[in-house]
Amino acid sequence: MNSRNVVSVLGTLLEPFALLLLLPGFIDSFSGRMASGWTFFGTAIVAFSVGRLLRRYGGEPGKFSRVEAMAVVAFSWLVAALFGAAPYVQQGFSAIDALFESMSGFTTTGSTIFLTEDFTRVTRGLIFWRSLTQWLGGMGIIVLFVAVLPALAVAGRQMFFTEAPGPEEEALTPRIRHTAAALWLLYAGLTALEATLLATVGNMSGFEAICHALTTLAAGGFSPHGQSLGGYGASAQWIVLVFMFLAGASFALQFRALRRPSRLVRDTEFKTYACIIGFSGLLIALLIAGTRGHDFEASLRHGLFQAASIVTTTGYASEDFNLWSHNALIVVGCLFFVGGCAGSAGGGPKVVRLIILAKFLAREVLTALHPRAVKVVRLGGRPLADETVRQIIGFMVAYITIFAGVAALAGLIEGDLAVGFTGSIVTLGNIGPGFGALGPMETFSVLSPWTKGLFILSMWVGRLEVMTVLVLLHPDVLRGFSLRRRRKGRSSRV
Amino acid sequence: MHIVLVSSGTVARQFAAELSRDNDVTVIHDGSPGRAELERLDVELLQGSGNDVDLLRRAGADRAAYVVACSRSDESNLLACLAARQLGKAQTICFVEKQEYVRSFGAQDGSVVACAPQLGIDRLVWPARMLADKIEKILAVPGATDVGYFAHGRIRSLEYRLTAELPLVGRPLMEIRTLPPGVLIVAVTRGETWSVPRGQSVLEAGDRVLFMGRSEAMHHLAAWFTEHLGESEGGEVVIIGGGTVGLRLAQTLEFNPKARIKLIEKDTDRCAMLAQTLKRSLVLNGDGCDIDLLETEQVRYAQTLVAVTDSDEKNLLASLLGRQLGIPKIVTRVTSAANRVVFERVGIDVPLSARGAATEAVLHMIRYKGVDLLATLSEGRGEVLEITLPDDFAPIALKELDLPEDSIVAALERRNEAIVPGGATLIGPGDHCFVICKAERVAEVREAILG
Repeated sequence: MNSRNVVSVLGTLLEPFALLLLLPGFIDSFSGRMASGWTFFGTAIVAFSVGRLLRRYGGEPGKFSRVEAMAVVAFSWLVAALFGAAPYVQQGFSAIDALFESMSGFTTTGSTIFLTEDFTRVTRGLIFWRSLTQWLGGMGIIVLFVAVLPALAVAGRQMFFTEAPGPEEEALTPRIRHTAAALWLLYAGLTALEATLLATVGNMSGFEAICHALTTLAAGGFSPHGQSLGGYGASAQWIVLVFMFLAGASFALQFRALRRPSRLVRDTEFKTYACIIGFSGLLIALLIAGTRGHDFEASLRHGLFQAASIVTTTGYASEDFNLWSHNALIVVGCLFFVGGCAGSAGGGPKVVRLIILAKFLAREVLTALHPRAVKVVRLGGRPLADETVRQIIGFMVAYITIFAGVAALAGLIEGDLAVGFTGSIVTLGNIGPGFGALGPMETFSVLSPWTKGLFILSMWVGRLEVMTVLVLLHPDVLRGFSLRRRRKGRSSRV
Repeated sequence: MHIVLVSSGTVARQFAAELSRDNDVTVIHDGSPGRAELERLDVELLQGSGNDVDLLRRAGADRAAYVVACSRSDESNLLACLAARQLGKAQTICFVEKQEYVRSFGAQDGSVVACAPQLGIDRLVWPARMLADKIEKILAVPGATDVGYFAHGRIRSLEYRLTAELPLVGRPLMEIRTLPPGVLIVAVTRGETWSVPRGQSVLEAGDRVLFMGRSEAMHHLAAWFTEHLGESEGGEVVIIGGGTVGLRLAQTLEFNPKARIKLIEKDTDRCAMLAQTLKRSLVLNGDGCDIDLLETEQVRYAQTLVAVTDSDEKNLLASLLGRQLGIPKIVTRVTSAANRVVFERVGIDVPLSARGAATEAVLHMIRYKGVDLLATLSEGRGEVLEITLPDDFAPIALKELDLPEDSIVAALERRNEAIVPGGATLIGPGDHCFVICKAERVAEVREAILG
């Protein structure tokens, strides 16, 4: 691996990233919170300078390998979270809390260390920054920069598919830059639409509407309100519900459906995704009907809202679901293991992987019955390569192993297995709130710093879909990380 | 008439034997085994490749009426036809095995199809498809050993093997009253003899009897046999051999949503391809003659076994194993004419040959004008002909026709209506006569009807 390539591209990415830090800076400056405003400006300047330095050190990026693309993607999320954490520290959060909130933002997890009083204490700029980090992370930082930075052309293609991995690489247009631009356009358009609807029909202030729109489309889950969506009316919840559903569906598919709506109905993953949300939502509605004074509309709304919120890994709550009956919570718990569609803003294992896994299991059963049978796994009628199926099984094994590992460690540190298990799955799946002490109206700030550190890693690994990080831990790659200057002409790529 | 055959192996033997009676035949043979059989015939034999233009010219392709390319290689056949077209005006008939070629030469998905003649190929013959379609039709009717459709499906033929319990056995035909109206018994195969029965003929157990009639009536007949033979519809189909025929057959059978299909193929790579193409069939990688595999897969409960590997010996062995396991219906592919006798001796119900069917069709394309061969019966011993009566035909009662022995007008189609004729039925201009006759008597039948 050529580390200087990685460093150079990281620098290239850091420069435009610094510009984004100016936005919340302006908000705070105009509302008279100068200290906070200057923190944003200062962080921006530092980020920009570091970017420049890295680029100078790295030089012109040469030929770009797959491992280098993975390294850039993995590190860019770490670097973004690091710089994004600075403004939180200025407003009185500890370093680990700030990093947690920042990582939770970029990875669109939505777990928060904010206490109820923090929502009124911190500046508007910080609330906006918190929402903006999710919006950037939702479509993917790399995907954004691939769209705006022509310099990334070839490297961009590899990074694009590393950051937004699905079972199959599928671009909308021959040029990856145009694909990225089309996706961002759709993403931004939907965000604007939701913000408008929330501000007009949803009885929200303009600022709250924008913040919610930013975090809904990202399947993030940060709300500027301490009660999450529980603090707003039914109309706002219905609007958010619809846009959560869109955020969890493949954006590429939606882009195509703009021209040919029939594509939605023919897409196996989308159909399954809609069915999962529909059925589990109705089931929850049935289980909570009549309790807590819910009428028909309210049970339906809360049922569907929570199902969509968990499946899309957004993590909003329309009310404190921890108060629901045990049966309803079991349904919610099962949904923790689903995740959105491939190519969406959602995290988790992804619906398509579960479909393929189920078909793989069916084939295993068939092979046990007919040892000589030859069968291919199909998705929507098309045969899948065994290679693809194997990768997905690998992913699932790694995912479950990491989930169990983090759960055990966190349970050990906290002395509470329930916290370990929910914390592990909601951070690895980028969901946000969990059960019990980690419920939607609770906070992660009570956890020990060690657990927080563990969950930060868990969010990072989950957003990068595990394999990218695991590859970087391979000894062959680690050996290549040396930053020593090398003589020209001697490539040391893996 | 001069005819040039481009062939390999034993394929051309049947052609050459049939055609050399009335025509000058030149065979270009690649020298593979099978040449010796050709040497016994009265044909000119040249050794070499059909793609060689000089050799084709020496064979007289430039002045021949027909060039038939029926070697085992699709590519050679196509090239030979293209080369022949450069030389002269001969009609070209090309045999192909691979589906891709049938597609890419612009033909519709038929078995004997007209192609774009500017490409140099007048007729494309796809024997594998013909065989697969035939098997599919036979499987569709429980118990039947042969099935035919004529006049756009208005007229059907069915062949059954009689068992001793059937009320048809042991009495003269004219006394049989149990058959539905509109059905005729038109042919009987007993051992190796094929005949058209008369009123006094008596049917015996073990005979294969061909019925023909209007499709509604044949439907009743099929139901009647299903009831008496105790065979049920549906059930599992086991196909041994995933070659062109096996694949094509499985694809056709998959159209029936209730069909359960097991396809056994030996070649691992071919299995992968089959599994990708077939959506619902169970593809098994193994040898169809492996008794352990047949046991594990519980083949004994299958309704039908179809053996269509490209080896006659394999097919025979698989069929015998299937019989041993007690599978009610067994359909087997047989390529060599010599083997066919063996198959019949050991009691395999339905031995079929891909090239056989295609060969017969082509022979008729070449031989008779105004007479279309629709099907061959009992492995080529009998034939179903369609004779269209010309406009100047003088109406005549059937019994007045001087038809040769072992021939019968089995059905008529008049103005889109199917008629089962009696002796008094008048035939007139525009009628389509469906005639069953012995293969040797085609010329006589034509003479008797068309004059």
